[in-house]
Order: sequence, then C-alpha cells, then structure tokens
Amino acid sequence: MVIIHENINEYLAADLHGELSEAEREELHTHLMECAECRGHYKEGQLTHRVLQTTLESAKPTLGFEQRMVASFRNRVLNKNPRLSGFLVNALRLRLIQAVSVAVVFFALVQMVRVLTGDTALNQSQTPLAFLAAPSSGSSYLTQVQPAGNEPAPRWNE
Amino acid sequence: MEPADHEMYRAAIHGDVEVFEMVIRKMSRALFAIAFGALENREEAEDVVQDAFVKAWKSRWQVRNPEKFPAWIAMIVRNRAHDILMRRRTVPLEEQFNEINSIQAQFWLADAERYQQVYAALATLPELYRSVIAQRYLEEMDYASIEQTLGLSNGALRGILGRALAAMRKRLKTNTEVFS
Repeated sequence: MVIIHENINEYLAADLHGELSEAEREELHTHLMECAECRGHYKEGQLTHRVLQTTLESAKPTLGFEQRMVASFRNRVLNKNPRLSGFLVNALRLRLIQAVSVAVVFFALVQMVRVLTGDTALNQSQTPLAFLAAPSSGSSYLTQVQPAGNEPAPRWNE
Repeated sequence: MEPADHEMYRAAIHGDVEVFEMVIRKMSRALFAIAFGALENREEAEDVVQDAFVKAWKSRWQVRNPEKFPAWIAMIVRNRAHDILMRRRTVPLEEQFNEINSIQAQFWLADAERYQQVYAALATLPELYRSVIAQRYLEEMDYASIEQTLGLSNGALRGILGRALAAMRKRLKTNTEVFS
C-alpha cells in the first residue's frame, strides 16, 4: 500500500485509462478507501481526465486527413523522378557505397586543400598517377610529349 | 511488434511506395497527435506530419532495424515541431490563442474560455508530456501503441502520464471554472 501511496499519480492515470491489471486495480481501490488524501487526488484526476477528453475531442484532424497526407506525399515525392531518387536511396543503404562515398569526399577535400595552399612539396612518385610520369625503363609517355633539354617550348605565333 | 507490421516497415524502408503509403495511413493520426501536442495548432501540426513523411522517405536508408521505424518517424515529427515552436517563441502566448480562436471560432465559441485555460495549462508542460497526452486523448491510443510510437517502456510511459495528469490537475485546480 505504501508503494501505491508513493506512486499514486501513476496508478490514478493508469486506472483512468483502463491500463491497470485486475490485481493492481483492486489494490488501488482498497487503498483509496483507506486514504482520504489519495481519494481527493482521485476525484480531481477524474475531473481532469474528463476535461481533457472533451477539450481535445474537438482538435482531432478533420475528415480525409489520411488521404490528404498520402496525396501530399505523392505530390512532393513521387512526381519527382522516382526511379532516380529510389535508386540513389537504395544505393546509399549499402555499406560499401557509403564507405566509397566517404573516401571520394575525403580525397576531393585533400586535393582542394593542396590546390588552395599550393602544396608542391609532395614527391610526384607518391601521387596516385605517378606511373604515368615514371615508367620503369625508357622515356615515359609524358616526357615524350614535353620538349627535350633546356630548349624553350615552341610558341604558337612563331 | 507483430510480424505483419515488421514486414510492412521493412518493405517501406526498402522503398516500396505502396507500402510506404500504408504506413502513412497507419501512422499519420498518431504523428498528428504528437505534433499537435507540441504546437497546439491543427494546421501547423498537419504541415509537420507532411514534412516528416517526405523527410522519412528521403532518408529511410538510415533505419537499419524495422522495429525502430515508427519511433524514428515520431522523432522526426518531434524535432520538426520543436523547431517551429522555437521560432514561434517570440509571439506572445495570448496572440497564439487569439489566432486559434479566430480560426476555429465556430467550433469553440461556447467553450472558448475553458479551451483557453486547458491549452494554457498544457502549454506549460514539457513537450514529451504534451505529446503523450495528445496521443492518449486525441487519438485514444492505448499504452502499447504509444510505447511503440515513442520508443518508451511501459514503466516510463506510466510515469510520464502520471506526472503529466498530476501537473494538469494542479494547474486546472486553481481554475474553478474549468473544474465546474
């Protein structure tokens, strides 16, 4: 009974909402007969319950509410290229694609920082495209197209 | 959660449009109650629910466990309603009530005073309490459904509803007009 007295608010609410078990309900009503303080709370609780019921009754959504929600969803989402957006959303569910996306964004950020700071200290051989500039033997593809030695590059107007 | 519901949420997460529309039909009233509990304005609450479904559709890939799907959408609604509420804080409470009264005057004229007092009392409660009260009284949802929607345990929900009703009781008690 001490437990009920200490938690009277929870018991009252659950009783008013019909959510007490038979045993709990019996315990509560036995306690109410013995405790005038809790009985007073119970009466006020019943009034509050009724006031809330009648007040919020009028705030219920109007007729056809669900249909309006569905129609709004169709207008705002499904009329905008559903195949492409559906494909993208489903693709994003895959962990592999999430990881690759993060890696691509990270790589792009690193490149952007390099361009902005003018960082040229990094050795060319460390770049991902180094194999184009430094093949194992002979001249590379890039050195073939560049002018040899210290000769100045030909000018277009000559 | 029943297996049929689990399957429905799983299909909705995987992009089945028809199933997602079933979810909208099933959940929209509960979500409206949450939004209305926070905002106490029917039009704004409807807008919030609409926005929440669009956002849920676009970012459904974030949900891994279908059982958490209802609570996840409810969280979107609560966050969106909270954002609107924060933006609205600058408008005096009295003006808000006047606005409500002018819009819904035809329904509320007779009991305008009582409504105003009840809503003023509701407005002083924490957002979660208002959402729970709105779900219980607006949609007459049972405890199990509210627990599922808000991701609460039975003990937590009982505690919240108990404290919420007690707080309302104390606030309305000072107003003899409401209790008469």
